[in-house]
Amino acid sequence: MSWHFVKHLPLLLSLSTVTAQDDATLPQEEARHRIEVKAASAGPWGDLEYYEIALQCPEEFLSAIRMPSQSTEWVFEASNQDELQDILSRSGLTEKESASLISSSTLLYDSEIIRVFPSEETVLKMAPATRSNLYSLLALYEQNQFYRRPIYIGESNLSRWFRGTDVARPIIEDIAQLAYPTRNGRGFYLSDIAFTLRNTTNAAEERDLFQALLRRKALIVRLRPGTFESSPAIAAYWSADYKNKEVLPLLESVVQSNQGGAIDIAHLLPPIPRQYLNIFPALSDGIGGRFPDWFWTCYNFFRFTPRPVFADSPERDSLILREFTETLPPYQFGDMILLNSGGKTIHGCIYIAEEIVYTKNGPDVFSPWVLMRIQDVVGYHDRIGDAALAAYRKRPSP
Amino acid sequence: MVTFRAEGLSVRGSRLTARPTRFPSLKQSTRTLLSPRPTILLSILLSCSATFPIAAETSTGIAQSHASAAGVSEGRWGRLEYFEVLLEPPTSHLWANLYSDRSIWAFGERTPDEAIEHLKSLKISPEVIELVKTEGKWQTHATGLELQLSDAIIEATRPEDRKTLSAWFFTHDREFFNRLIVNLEGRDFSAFEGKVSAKTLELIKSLTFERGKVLSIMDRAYVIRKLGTDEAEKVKFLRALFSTRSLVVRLAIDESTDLEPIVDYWSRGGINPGVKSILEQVKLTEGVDRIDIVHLLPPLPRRYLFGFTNLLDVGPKNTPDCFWTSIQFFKRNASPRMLDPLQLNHYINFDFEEASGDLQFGDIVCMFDKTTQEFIHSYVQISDDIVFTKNGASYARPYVLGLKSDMLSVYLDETEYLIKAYRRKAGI
Repeated sequence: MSWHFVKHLPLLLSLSTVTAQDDATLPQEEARHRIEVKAASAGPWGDLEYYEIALQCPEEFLSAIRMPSQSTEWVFEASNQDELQDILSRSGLTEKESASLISSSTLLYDSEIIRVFPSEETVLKMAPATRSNLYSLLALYEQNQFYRRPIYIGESNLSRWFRGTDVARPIIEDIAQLAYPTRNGRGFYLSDIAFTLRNTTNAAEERDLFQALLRRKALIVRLRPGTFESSPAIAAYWSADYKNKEVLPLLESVVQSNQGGAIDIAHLLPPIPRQYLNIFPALSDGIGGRFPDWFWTCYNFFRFTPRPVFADSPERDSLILREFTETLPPYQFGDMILLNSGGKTIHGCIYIAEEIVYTKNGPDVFSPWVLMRIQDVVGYHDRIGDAALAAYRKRPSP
Repeated sequence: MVTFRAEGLSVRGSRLTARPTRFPSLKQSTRTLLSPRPTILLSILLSCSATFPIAAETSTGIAQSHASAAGVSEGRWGRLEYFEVLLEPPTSHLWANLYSDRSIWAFGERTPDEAIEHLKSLKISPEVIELVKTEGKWQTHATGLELQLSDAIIEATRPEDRKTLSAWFFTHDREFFNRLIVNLEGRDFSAFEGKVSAKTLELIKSLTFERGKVLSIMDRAYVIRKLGTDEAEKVKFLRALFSTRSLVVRLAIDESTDLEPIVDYWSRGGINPGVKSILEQVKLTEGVDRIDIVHLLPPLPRRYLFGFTNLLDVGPKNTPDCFWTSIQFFKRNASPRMLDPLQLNHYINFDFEEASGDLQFGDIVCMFDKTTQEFIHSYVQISDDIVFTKNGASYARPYVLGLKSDMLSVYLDETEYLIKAYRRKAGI
């Protein structure tokens, strides 16, 4: 399983370098990219191929967003400048960097916090490593929402990432400057979302920008069922020890129809994940007071009727111990993959096949249920850079 | 008004098969479960007197034999390319009574002599009547008089006898009729070919009979009996008998595709969000020319597509059927309320409006018996020739995307239909 080595993948090229390339095209100009459909390694799941799409959140969600000021604001829990200097130093910034940052910023003092308003030049010209250290520090404070949950950019080609949007070139150039590499070296984060508003000229452009930034990447995955002779093994894989036996009549029929075409694996998912695949939460999903999160998504993967349990539910660990067994590779369809970091479980997703997992990356309404590569899921969640994976297999029903 | 017209009697497709009896909690509710949906009050529904204009089109389609296994549907919805899959119910959904090898005809409150006289009045073959007298075994149960049939009686029964008897059972004992009669989808034997032995297939062919444009079989128990101890062949026979034609459907998109009208069609004025970004991305992607429409369906049909009834969806007195499937098409989650004994117009009259103009994605099409005003079947419009439906309440019938012609092939008996279409209101 190549994705066990996700932490050791080499750093990608910087975004600014990539966007400066001659062949980099802007979204408005580009048409189609050359190679998008990728083949996954063959395995017991059959022959898979996939491509990436970007899901736009519903328009009504955008109107619920409180539009931030384009003036960057950092909040520190400090009561005076010395404390602030100390915090910055401990975050890995040099004394010179800290001093420069403070001297070029406007500071507003409250009773327990200091609000720091850096200059545009400070924000824009910060070295990537400094930005990474500083923003990791800002992520510790609840008040810095864009730093706690940055936008994850899973690739180095920004033009491709923004394809199909109306985001203007100056904004993309800003983002190329502002994005910083994740701690695990997979992809980039963008926290300076408010800052990017400086190049918008009207409300429509603001909405377009946020719509683009809030797009969520997802995979469309197709299975080529192969020959009739190979079908029993493939059927065994997708039926997951009969936990997903409902898929068998369809697989059997697809093979027998001998059409030679690929079948979308949405058809091979159990009912609940199929129902939610590639959609954003709706009001009805939170009518019980909570919106589904990663544990809700994992725990209910094979269930026909979802049970309202969440990552912070008191019964979470006992449910895992009672209904799952810890397992080792090779993983099987439906295995629950937990991401552990900093001594706690930060996320979980469901193994589908090869490098592909089924995930909901947050409990918020901007996080749809999607298929992703596990590398991207780790990149998205691993803020510290120490994520380790553990897998649990659902026990068969008695 | 255009209506279907064929000869003979009708089969109510929403009750093509009997209820499973392997689920004890449901036993006591059999009659209720088998009873038809509450007959819709047409006086209310027909206050809008316009009828749906596609009947002639579908009627023409039905007259043809089963089409090729792959095809194209092109129109306002774009270019849909599809191939057929034949869904056989898993063995877990074949309930014990289906394996019964006891062939019976039911005669209600009649005595044996009265039943024989009645067979004569129906002009059943004299040979059959003589065999009934000599080999038939009469038994009286709580449900009435039953005649247990010998092999000779069944073998002597002519197709026209079966047609006559099925018409009489339909009129006088609907529940028995529903247990007895199975209509073969597509009016052919393709579901059995390659599945059962040649000998079994010939036996099946010898027992089928036509009712209008429907091909039926009423001697399932006889086939089971003839298969003796070959349990594997029995399973193959039953799975093929209840197999349902379905379609894997993809929307073709290339660089020249004008997405705007297609997005409009599938989004249904915002009722079905999320379509636009997916289609735009597909268009931008090199090497991807089509997207499975499972991604364009609302959450609920997506959840159920190609699946069979799950016991967790079943209520004490009802089980998901065609109307349950249709009325909730745009809903996020299925509602238990839809299993309550509601009048059909309970939601139709308030959350829907009668469809006008061309049918749109997600419109519900309801079929009524023109004579009795009874609700017969409903389905959801996907494109003009592709529908989303569940044919009946049976556990053996899945939720499918299918050709309208295949779906209607089990309904076009002698019944004259009244067709009406309803459109969900925005914001409901």
